[in-house]
Amino acid sequence: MVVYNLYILGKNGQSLFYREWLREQSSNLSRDEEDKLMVGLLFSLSNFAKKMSSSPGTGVFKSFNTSKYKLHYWESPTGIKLVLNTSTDVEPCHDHLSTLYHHIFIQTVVKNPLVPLTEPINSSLFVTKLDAFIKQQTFFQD
Amino acid sequence: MEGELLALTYGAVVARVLKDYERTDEVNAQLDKMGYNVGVRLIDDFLAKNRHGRCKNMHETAEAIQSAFKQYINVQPQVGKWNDAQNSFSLTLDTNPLTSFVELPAELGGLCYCQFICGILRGALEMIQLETKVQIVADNLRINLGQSEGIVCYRNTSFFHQKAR
Repeated sequence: MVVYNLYILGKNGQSLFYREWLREQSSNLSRDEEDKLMVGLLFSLSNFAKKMSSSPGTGVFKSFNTSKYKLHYWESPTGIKLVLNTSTDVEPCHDHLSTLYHHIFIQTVVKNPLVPLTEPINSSLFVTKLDAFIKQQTFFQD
Repeated sequence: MEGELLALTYGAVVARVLKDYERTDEVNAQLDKMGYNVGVRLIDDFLAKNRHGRCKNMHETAEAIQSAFKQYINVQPQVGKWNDAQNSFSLTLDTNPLTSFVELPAELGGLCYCQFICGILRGALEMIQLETKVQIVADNLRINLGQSEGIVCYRNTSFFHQKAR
């Protein structure tokens, strides 16, 4: 059970944060291009989930599996998107992402007036707390 | 004790902005901008504390705003004056902690002292895809508006439901 990387994308798709713990193959794309690709995919999948949902108005895209990794997704009501890539044997961690947002992101980034919410986040406190949070998850292995 | 510190701090801020900008309409714009910046961050905190889920219509939104006021400044506003299209309403605060010690002189008649709160509401609602216009309709600080009760009213005039960005 391994955590690969984490993306935080802003309301209009801008890249806010990226952190990787283990990445065996880089995509040879710049940070910007990779994030744009991610945003496009998530937007399409979210819309798809909403449209194809069995009851109208619900249907939230949470995660998808490939043969090599599992992508977990969580979006805040204000449009901040959290994307976590882990190995395939990890349980869907929608709740973990929600906790990450509410207890770490909000407390260290949103409430900090000196950190702009439309540019890449540069807060060492946030990085420290994020690392500590991810490392104490049961699905993280060094 | 907390309320006093907030009122005095806000008063100091308004006085400073007045000194910097001098004209009341520019001061109002600055207070609105400050409030907006607070609002875009405050909404996340509010949503974290109340896992509410989507509000299906303006009535639920109004209720959520009421509980937010209660949480943050300990005053519950009254919701009223709905228009026919149900997309505009007014909030009335019986007591406003920001204006506890304030009296506006005659030459500052155009100053919307609580424009900050309007900005907060506008910023917060914009982050959840609700474009609104919030303005002060009646203010007990401005004697030339002829208000005798201690009330302050806010109104949301436009409503774009779940506009995808």
